[in-house]
Parts: sequence; C-alpha cells; structure tokens
Amino acid sequence: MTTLHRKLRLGLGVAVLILVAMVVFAVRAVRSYGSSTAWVLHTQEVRRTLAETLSALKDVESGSRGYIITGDTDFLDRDIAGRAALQVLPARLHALTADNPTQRATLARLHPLIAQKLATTARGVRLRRDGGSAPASALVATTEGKQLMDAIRHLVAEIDAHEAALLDARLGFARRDARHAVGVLVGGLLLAMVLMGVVIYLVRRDFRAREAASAELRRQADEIRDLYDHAPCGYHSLDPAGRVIVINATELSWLGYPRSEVVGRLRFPDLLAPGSRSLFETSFPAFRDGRAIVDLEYEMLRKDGTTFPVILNSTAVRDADGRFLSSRATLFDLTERKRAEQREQQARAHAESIVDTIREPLLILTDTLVVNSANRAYHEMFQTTDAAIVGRPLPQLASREWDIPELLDALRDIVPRQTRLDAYEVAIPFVSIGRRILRLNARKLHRLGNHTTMLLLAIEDVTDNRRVEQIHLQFRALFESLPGLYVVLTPDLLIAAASDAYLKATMTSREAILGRDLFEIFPDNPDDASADGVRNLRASLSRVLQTAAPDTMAIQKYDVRRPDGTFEERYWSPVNSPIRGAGGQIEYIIHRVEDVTDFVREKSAPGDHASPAFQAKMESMEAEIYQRSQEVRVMMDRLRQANEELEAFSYSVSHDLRAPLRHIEGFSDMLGRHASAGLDERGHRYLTVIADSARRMGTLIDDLLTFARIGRTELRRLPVHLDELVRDVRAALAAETSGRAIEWDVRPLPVVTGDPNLLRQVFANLLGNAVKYTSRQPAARITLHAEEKPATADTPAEIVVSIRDNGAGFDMKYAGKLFGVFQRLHNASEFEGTGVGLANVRRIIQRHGGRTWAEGVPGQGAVFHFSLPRDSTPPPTLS
Amino acid sequence: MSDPLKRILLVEDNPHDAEMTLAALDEHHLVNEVVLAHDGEEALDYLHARGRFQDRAAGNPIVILLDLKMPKVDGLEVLRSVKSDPALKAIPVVMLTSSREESDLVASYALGVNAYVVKPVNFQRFVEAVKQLGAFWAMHNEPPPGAVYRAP
Repeated sequence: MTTLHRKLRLGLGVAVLILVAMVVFAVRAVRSYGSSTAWVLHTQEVRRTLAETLSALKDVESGSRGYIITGDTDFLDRDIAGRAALQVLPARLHALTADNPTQRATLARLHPLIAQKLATTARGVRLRRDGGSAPASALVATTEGKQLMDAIRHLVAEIDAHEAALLDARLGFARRDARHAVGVLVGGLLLAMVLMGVVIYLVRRDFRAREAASAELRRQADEIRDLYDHAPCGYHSLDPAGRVIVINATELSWLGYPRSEVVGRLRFPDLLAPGSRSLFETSFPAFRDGRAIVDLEYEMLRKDGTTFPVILNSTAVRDADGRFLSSRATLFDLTERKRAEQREQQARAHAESIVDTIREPLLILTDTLVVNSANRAYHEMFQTTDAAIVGRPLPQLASREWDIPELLDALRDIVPRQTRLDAYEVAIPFVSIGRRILRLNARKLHRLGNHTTMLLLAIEDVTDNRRVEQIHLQFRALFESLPGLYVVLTPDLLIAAASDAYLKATMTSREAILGRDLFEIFPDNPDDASADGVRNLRASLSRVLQTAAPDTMAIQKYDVRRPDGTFEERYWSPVNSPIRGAGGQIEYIIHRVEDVTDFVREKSAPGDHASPAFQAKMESMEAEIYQRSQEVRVMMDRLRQANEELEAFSYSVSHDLRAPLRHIEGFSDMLGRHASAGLDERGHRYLTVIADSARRMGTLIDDLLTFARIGRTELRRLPVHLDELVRDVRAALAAETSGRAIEWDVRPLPVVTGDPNLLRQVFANLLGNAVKYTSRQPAARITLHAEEKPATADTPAEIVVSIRDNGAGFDMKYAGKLFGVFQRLHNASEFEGTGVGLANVRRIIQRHGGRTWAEGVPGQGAVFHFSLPRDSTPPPTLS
Repeated sequence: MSDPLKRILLVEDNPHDAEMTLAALDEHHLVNEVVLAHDGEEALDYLHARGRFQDRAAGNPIVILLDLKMPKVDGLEVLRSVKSDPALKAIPVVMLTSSREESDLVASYALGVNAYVVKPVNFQRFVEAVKQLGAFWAMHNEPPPGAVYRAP
C-alpha cells in the first residue's frame, strides 16, 4: 500500500509538472501570437500611412496641375487638403518606424523629395496666379515634376516592400510558435493520458490484491472456526456468572447436548457431576480475581446422566482496565487416559506379581549396576530384603562376592553395546549360603513410564543340577563298567543302555544297538529250527510289563550273531526286572543275563584236564541241571496258569456261594416272621443260628474275595496323605466307637506314595482291630504315630507306622501266626472276626515293598507296625 | 389316590432272589405292580411289548431292577439296549447284583446305569436296601414322561 501511495504521488507529481509545462507553453504561445498580431497591425499601419502619404502627394499634384492648366481654383482645394495631410503623415511615418533604422533611413531620403515636390507645385500655383497660364504651363510641361514623382513612388514602394517583408517574417514566427504550442499541448495530453492509464492499472491491481487478501482472510477465519469447533479437545467460554457463552462442537458432542440448550442457558456447573461442582464454585471466583486455572480435573455430566473425566485449563479475557470479561477454557477427555493408566497399572501389578512368582531369582539393575529391585525368589535365595540391597551397587552386595571383574565388565557392556549375557556360568562362594554354581542370563530392559534403560539379571542356581548331572554321568559310567551283563530296555523293548561286559559277550558295540529294537539286534539263529530264544524272552518281558514283578528265566539257548553274520551257540541265564517311575508305571526293564555257555558246553565237550569218568559225571550233572531248569520253567508256566485259573475260580465260586447264603438267611428270616406264632423259643433260636451262620459265611466269602483281589489288582502309586486317610477311616468307625470312651492319640502322619484304596484298607483293619480288641476296656487308649527311619545296610529309608492299643493283646509266641489267613488268636465268642484282616494288611504292605510285625502282651495290649519304603520305587539292583 | 401307578420291572433269573425282592417290596407296600422277567430276553420283550407281553398295559415302568448275571441276555446287555433306545433310556435302571467286581461296576456306569446296589447277605439289610430303592425311585423321584399314572 505504501508503494501504491508512493507510485500515486509520483504519478500525480509528474502529471502536475506536465500541466504546468503545458500552461507555460500555452501562455508563451498566446503571447507570441499576440505580438505577431500587433506587428501585422503595425505593418498595415505603416503601409496604410505610406499609401495615404502617396495619395496625399497625388492629390497635391493633381490639384495643382488641374489649377495650373485650368486656373480653376476648385482644383486648389484638393491641393490644399493634400498639403494639410502631408503636414502630419511624414511625422507619423517617422514615429511608426522608430524601431527600424533601415526604414528611417529610407524615410529620411523620402522626406526631402516630398518637400521638393510640394515646393515645385507651390511655385507652379503661384506662377499661375501671378503670371498666368503660360509660365506655369511651361513649368508643368517640364519633366522635372514627373521625375520627382517617380523617385517618390520608388522610395514609397521600397519602404512598403520592406515593411511587407518584415510582416512576412513576423507572421512566420507567429505560425511556428503556434505549431509549438499545439505540439506541447497534444504531447502533454498524451502523457497525461498514459499516466492516468498507469494509475488506473495500479489502482486496479492493488484493488484485486486486496480482494484476494480479504478472501484468504475469510477462509482462514472459517478454518479457525472449524478448528475451534472440531478440535480434538473441548473449548468453551464463560461469562463472569459462569454461564456458557461459546462452546465448540467437540465438547457438545461429549456432553450430548445441542448447542441451543447450552449457550446462554446453562452454567458450567450444570455440566459437572455433583462431586465436581464445589470445585468449580471455589475455583471460578478465584480465577475471576486473577488466579490461574491449570490442569484442573473435573468429572463432567452428560445429558444422559453418565459422567466422564476431563482435565481443564483456562485463561481469562479482560478489558483494558483488567476487568474480567470471559474465560476461555480448553478441556481434554481423560477417559482413555484414565483407562490406559488403569491398564498400565494393572499390567504393572500383573507383571510385578509374575516377577514375584517366578522361582528364578531376578535382579533389576541400572546401567551402572546399581540394584533397582529384586523379586521374592532373590530375597529367599540370598536371605535379604529390599532395604538391604536396593540402591546399592551389585559388586558391593553381601560380602562383595559379586565383585568379579569379568562378570561386571560383561554386564556393563550390555546397555552400550546391545549385547546380552547368555547362560554365563560362574561358581561363587557366598558367605551366607555357601558355594553356588550360578547360571546367569542378562538382558537390556526398557521400563515403561520413565524411559531409563535397565538390566534384568536372572540368576539360576544350578548347583544341584550340576551335582545331579555329575551323579548321572557317574552312574552311567558305573553302570557301563559293571562286570555283569546288563541291558536296560524301554517298555517297548528298545535298548536304552548296555554294560561293556554285555557288549563284549554279544559281540556288539554300543553305537550299533542303542535305540534299536532288542529282537532286531538279537534274532533267533535261522539255522536252528528249535530256536525259542526270542519267544521265551519276549514272553518273560511281557510278564514283567504285566505283573510289574521280576521274572527269572530258565537257562536259555540263544545264539549270538557274529559280525560276519554267522551265529555262535550260546546259553544264557536271564533275569528281567522292572524299574518303576515316580507314578508307579514301568519305565524300564533291566535285563540281567549270565553267559553259561562254557558251563553248558563243558558237559558235551570233553576236556583234557579231567578223567573220562569225571567228565562223564560232569556232563550228566550239567545235562540234568539244564534239563531241570527247563522243567522248572515249564512248572512255572503251569503255576502261573493255575494261579490264573484259581483267581477265576475263586471269583465265580464266591459269587455263586453268596446267592444260596443270601437265600438261607432271607428265607429263615421270612420263616421267622411268617411262622412266628407256631415256633417256640428253641425254634426261634434255630432260625437265628441258621441266619447267623449264613451271615458269617457271607462275611468270610467277602473277606476272601478282598484277599484274592489284593493279589490280583494292579497297584496304583499316587501320593497319599495318611492324615486324611486316617481321618476318613475313623469317621467310618464312628458307629462302632459311639458310646465308648476311647482316648485317641494320633500324631501327624506323612505323605507317602502308594495305592490309596489298599492303604485305606490297612488302616481300616488295624484301627478296626484296635477298636474291637479294646472293647472290654473301660478306658480304651489308641495311639497312632509314624517315624522316619534312615537307610541301613539292610533296609532302605522307610516310614514306620505304629498303632498301639491297650486292649486284649496276644501272646508273643503266636506272633508268627498273626498275619496268616484264617489265623485267629481269639475265639469268635470273645471277638468276632474271620482271620483275614491281618492277612490282607500283610499282603498290601508287601506289595508296597514294606514289612509288617507286631508286639503284644496278653491282657495289656498290642502294637502293630508296618513300614513303607521312603521312596516306594524299588531301586534297581546294580550289584 | 393321586399316586402314580407304580409299576416296577424286576429282572431276576434266580427265583429265590426274585421272591425275596418281591417280599421286601411287598412288606413296605411300595408298589402296585411288579412285573417279573426271568432273563434279559424277557425283560426286553416286556419293554418293547412283544412276545408274551404283546398285550401288556401301555406305558413304561417307573424303574427297572436288573440282575447282572443271567442266562441268554445278561444284565449289561439289557442295560445297553435300554440306554440306547430313545423311547426307553429315560427309565431309571438299578443294578441289583451280588457282584462286587470293579469291572462290572465300571461297565455299568459307562453304560449309564442310575444306581448300582450290591445285594447284602443279611436279609434285613437287603429288605432295607430294597425299601430305600423302592422309596427313592417310586416316591421321591419324578417319573420320566411316559410312565403310567393311575387315574385320580
């Protein structure tokens, strides 16, 4: 705009200059034209005066001539008028040519000629008047007059021509000036028009620019308006009374109100949850008075009654005197942030709880190895607390045991070099907890919130693992170097391990047989039609898997394949034993075998070292032994079969036996009721005896069934809480103990591995016995306790449970009979019983690998003991 | 009387056991009608209303008391047949047997038996057991749809 002003001023200045120049030119041109006109008039005056002068001279001549010739005095009038004019005219000419010396000079020559003319004519007149006509006519007749006149005429013409030339020259000047003036005027006009054009162009250009600028301004204003309305935050303004005067669309959409219901109608506290209103009512007056409002948290109230959290900042708009006009507030919806905070808090708590439940000790260190935090497992392992370690550098912890330069360097490298520590094993002799082998893993850790870099150091105590691994390796080496011939098989008969001696005896190598199927490595000799090694060994192994009991095979011919593929005759004496896992299932079978080939062969191959008689004797003996062992094997098979048949038999017999017993009892009872009136007392007693006997036999059969079942059913091995078991059994005995005074002393019992149902039966029998045999004591006392027995040379570590009572007791000389089937030390009239209960106890405990025994004094009580191996998995016998 | 018509199907091959069971049920006046089948085949004939039961009264019994060991068709087969027949499987089946074998128990429960009762040797206890069974299935248990009700 200033440039436009300057341009306009410049243009106007130029235009003014041009106009002034035009006026000057015009004035000059007019003046010049005026003087030219004066000069033309002057020239015409001069020329008219000359003509008058010449005319007056002609009047004088013609008047005088006419008088002279005629003598008529009338002619003299013209002469006199001419002479009078000539008195004035020459002076006038003189005056008129004052500016022109050339004309004056010519006039100067004219004046005498005029005077001479006048004199000549005047003499002629006088002559005529005085002398008559003749002298005068003579005078006239001379040429003198005519010559004079010609001279005069010539001079007048000269002056006239000069004057005409002057006029011409002057008129030329005037015309040139006029042309100049026209040129200047036209030029000026053109220039002015150009200037006007330029000015119009500039003004219009400026006008357009302003137009565009104002459009841009309007667009920006719209944009700002839009920004205000649809900003991702809420905006509003309040008047001094707290009424909403402006509010943006975003905030309205949060609140769920149309604008018309809010602006000018509601006060801001109407949009707040009741709990937030008092905050507004206290902060707003202070704000009006100049206090700042920064990051106030309000709970807003939607039209539908729900609420949401916001954070509010406000500035005040004041007039020149500082009076409060309105507020301008910005609001941010905190719902998401609150939710995120909550989530983060939960995530953090979750993470912390995870970290705390991790069994591996963890340390979080700063990049300078200062302890930031530790989990519970760390504190438990190193017996420390947060207070003792947080904020302290790692190398200074405890008794500075961590001060291992190599380790510290590796840890310090993790953050700057982006490295990590993987399975770094280090043995540290801790003062507090002894020497430990630790496996360390460390990682860079980004923490949420503050963006500091941390280190996570995970500490795994592998001391025990190392020990176990070492023991494991030692055991394998020990196993492999055993002098005996051993193979360990998986339940699907793959070879898992073999002793060196076995490999040597079978001409195989460990690499060739490990992981292979037993019978693929050791097939029958194809050239021996009677070979039964595979069949018999397979049968024995199946028995082991079925019964979970060791199986001894008779001496078995089982030829061995040489590396060249031919077979070598061999005789073996194998024993197959199961190895159970923690859950009781069979994990391996140990196949122990003795090479008896030489022994067997001795009998057939005559040696040199003995007499033929001895040889013969030996041979026959060995042949007999071999034959006997074969017989034993056949017998064992038969026995097994017989056992199985017996099981089936006892099962069906006891079932079929029970039915008639039931009928005897049932019908005798019905008879008793039906024929009650017709029976005397004796008859009733008979019926009672029949029923009692039948019932007793039923009980016997039930007990026998149980006894048979114990030997038959698969033994389960589960963790058994003996405490709970005893509680259950005592509850089941409640019917028998009610109304009796029994003092129970039951000590805490351990958790063992075994078959819960069978062990329950053991306690049911033993506690039932204790209750039964104390039934005649006025003050019965039953104690139950368990004791850990460490391993001795003969027995492994075991738990011994003892049940003591102050009941009937027994004579120690019958102690051996106590656990036999149907063995009773009291008659039925004293104490009821079938004599199967303790037999069951022994059978169950034996199946668990334990022992049973008892002590008693007649009339004073008895104590029954049973033991269970601490680790109820029978250890494999290696020697 | 607004009691449902309490018809029980007793499947028992041993006549003595059957008699005792009937006596026990009778003693407590638990039922209005007991149909006795002497083996599994008869039991199925009755349930499907065929053979000699062709003209029997319509409706299913409110409970079947089923012996396990029987000639021809044994108890487990009857149980399997009942529990796989959409028209019959809602009838409660109680195994009433002398077998304590776990395998029998497991097989019965696998086939969906509703109760498994070992016949006690003691007659009084037997009566008690039958009484409880009868009471439970005939009185307390809501009979399945299709069971017969006596008109009020």
